[in-house]
Amino acid sequence: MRPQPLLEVRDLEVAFRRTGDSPLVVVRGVDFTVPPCSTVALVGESGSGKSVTALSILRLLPESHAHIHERSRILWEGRNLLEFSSQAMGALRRRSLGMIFQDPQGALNPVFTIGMQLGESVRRAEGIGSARQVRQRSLELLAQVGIANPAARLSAYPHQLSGGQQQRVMIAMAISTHPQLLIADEPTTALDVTVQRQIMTLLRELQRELSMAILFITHDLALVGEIAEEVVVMRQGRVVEQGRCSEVLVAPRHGYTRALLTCRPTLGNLPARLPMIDDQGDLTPARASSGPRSSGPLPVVLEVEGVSKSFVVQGAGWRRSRFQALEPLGFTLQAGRTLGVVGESGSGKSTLARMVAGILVPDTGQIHFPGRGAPGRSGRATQVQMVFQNPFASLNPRFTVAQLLTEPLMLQGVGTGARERVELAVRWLERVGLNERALNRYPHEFSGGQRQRIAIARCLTVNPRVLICDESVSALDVSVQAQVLNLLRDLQDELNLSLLFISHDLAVVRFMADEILVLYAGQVVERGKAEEVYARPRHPYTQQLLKAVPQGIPLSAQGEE
Amino acid sequence: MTVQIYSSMRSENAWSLALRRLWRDPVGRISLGVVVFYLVLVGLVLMGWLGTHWNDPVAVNYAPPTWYATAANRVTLPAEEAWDRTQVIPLYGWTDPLEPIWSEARAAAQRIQPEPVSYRLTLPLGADKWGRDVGQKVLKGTQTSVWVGLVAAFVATFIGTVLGALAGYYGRGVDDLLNGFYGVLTSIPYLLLVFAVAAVFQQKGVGTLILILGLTGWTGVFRLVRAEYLKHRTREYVLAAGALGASHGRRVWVHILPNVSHVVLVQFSQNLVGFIKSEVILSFLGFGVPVSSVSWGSMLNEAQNELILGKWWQLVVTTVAMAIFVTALSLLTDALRDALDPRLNS
Repeated sequence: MRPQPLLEVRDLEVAFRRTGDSPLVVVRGVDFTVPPCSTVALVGESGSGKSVTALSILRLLPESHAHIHERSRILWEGRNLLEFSSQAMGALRRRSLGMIFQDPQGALNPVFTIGMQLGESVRRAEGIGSARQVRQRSLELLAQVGIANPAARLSAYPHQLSGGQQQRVMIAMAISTHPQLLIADEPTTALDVTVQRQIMTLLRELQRELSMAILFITHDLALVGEIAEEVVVMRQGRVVEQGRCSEVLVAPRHGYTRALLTCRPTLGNLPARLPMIDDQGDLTPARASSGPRSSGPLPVVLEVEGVSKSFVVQGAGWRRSRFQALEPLGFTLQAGRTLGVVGESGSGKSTLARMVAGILVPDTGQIHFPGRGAPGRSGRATQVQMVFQNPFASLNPRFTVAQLLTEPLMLQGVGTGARERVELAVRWLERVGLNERALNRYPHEFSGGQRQRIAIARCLTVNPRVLICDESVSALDVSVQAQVLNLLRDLQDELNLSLLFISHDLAVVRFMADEILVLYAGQVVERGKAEEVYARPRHPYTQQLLKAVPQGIPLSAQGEE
Repeated sequence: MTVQIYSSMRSENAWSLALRRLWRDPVGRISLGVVVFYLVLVGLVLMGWLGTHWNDPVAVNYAPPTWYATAANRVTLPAEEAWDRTQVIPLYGWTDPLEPIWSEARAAAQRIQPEPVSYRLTLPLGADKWGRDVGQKVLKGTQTSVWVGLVAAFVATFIGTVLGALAGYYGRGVDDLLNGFYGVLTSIPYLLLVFAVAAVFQQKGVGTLILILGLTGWTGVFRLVRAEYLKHRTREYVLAAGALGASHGRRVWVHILPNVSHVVLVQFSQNLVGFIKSEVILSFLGFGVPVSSVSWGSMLNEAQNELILGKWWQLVVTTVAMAIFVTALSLLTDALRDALDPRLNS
């Protein structure tokens, strides 16, 4: 007989009230159970309702806006949580539930030291008052989550810790209550790959040590295999598939799960085009590689020589110091080729992108665009364009799509009148898979993927020869990411575009790039042909990076290694 | 074809969305109604359709307010006796040097046949010391005060926005310079500064008042607009515009300004409230509008002497008119801020 589950979610339906409109049902008919001491992963893309589900379990949804259906039940050791008084719920949250969030920086109060914040939750959890005991317990917790030199860290402020350390502190606070269930909402999404690996290992160890259950929420199916025994795949508020990880990840029954697994590029599998999910959740198959692209001598379109950049850092009072963001580096980019730049946060990859795009002026060195006339300020715009990371921030929210797309044409003097420019804009819109109906709409009316398409179309209106993609697909859902990556490949083949493709995601760079530049703390640690770097990384940092990429292998399979 | 679509299908932009949100908020709706009502009144007075007779004595001194006036509500005062100077002052042989003037005056007085004047005994809102209709006065006073506030708020918001945008966008030297200027200006006590500017102009009038308020009141707008520009200048859409070849000027005025316009608008309405109150204070202190004009401030100034005599109506009428407008405007400002706040987008 199975033990009584710790948590049972039965027929959960959550609706958001909208003023002057019918309520929007965001979660419907969700059923799953979390057995004690096990890990269940809740997987889905944005809008799938996974976070709302987690917040309903904690009863942290604002009651004025969200309505949980009367028939829904959330059973905690057999008792319905939804009927708890707020005191009982508070006690449960204090004693049995822990939660960690995606953004540890936002979750920690910047004006209090780590010691004060951790101490507060220790005091509440243990009911101990003496400062010495609290300090003792705080030190234990910090040591438990793997923070080196915990005594010094207690008096540090959150901003003095790295993102990974902050997340460790959040975990320490969450486990200070000896929770039976830890809800982890995208705990590693904001972190670098190598740090993500460390946090995942820590969570796994803690789970074993403290014998608690974990409800792990993520958009990344590859990560699920690293930690969970069971997986619940959600899409648009419904559960599409659930079961044991070893079965779901290896032999997914539902098309959407299969799509999620395959439309993300992996290090091993390299099709010319990624498979894509259409609106029905069906999969368009991957297209095989159409043979190696021509590798003869190609004209060079971008030459970067000895470029470096440092920034002034404002210290206390009048003290200022310089921070070297990028050591001198150089590279060339040939027509129609892709140079991938890989690095973690702070490696200087965005600084490089912005210097090539002409947004930042390099301290030393030169950037040439051989072939066309001297690159003046506006001349450069026709040579190189940049697609930014966040399509929600890179399009002016007060401009219509028509204004967004015709502005560069106007600035560069392309086209003779408004009418001709609008027609050109429509051509580009159609090229990126939108149509003229988009013209008079504002960016907020589009989804993230559509916005990124508009941003790409805007860059292409001026016919640049080099397109810089600075983490251009990192903010997108996996399925949308596949569409945008395929679009970039298509456009590259068609227009003979050269790409400077910058990402922290090694698998995505592998899919796109012909050559690779690995940056670490402002220095190039490794460069070379993509196949060679990935197959035989020479520098220890590159090796470490590659090892940290989640492979999507279920735990059971890993154990047999 | 495409051009037709371009013009026929307009999508909802941020402003119409904000207006819809404002309209959904009952407080916003009511306060907007009140403010529009006042603005219409101001427009009518400016066009000369209302409040033109505010300076005519139409009633007896301090005619009390009454709502039901009977037909007998008039008094006809006898015509003042024709001015006659029969009495001759003994001049002891001197000729009166003013005699030509006196005789001219006598002749003129005989030509004019003073007619009996009829005065009202009561008025709906009462009369002031000179028998002027308080209702008419308050209409004209509203126009003066609101007009001064509107124009001064426009001037102040304009200066503050331009300087704030430049300081926030360009930073460094420009920012240091403008910040220094801002620091000096805000270190002077407000009323002292206003008096100093008033002393420099040495001329009472609506124009002077507008300049005083406009030139001293832009600092708040400056501070907020500067902060917004600091925030926006590193946003990706501004960087993207730069990468596409947009000039600095274009980035400042075409790209960023529409995105901070909600701050400007809210500051404008807050300034409007503040300036209307400042006008009242200045007029009350005697630095405001000249006697040939009337405003809420000058009316309140008169009312303080009347109150001692127990004539309360001018005070009440002015206060109520002002309180309703200022309250409605403050509420509208709050509602506007909520409606325009991009973070509350749902």
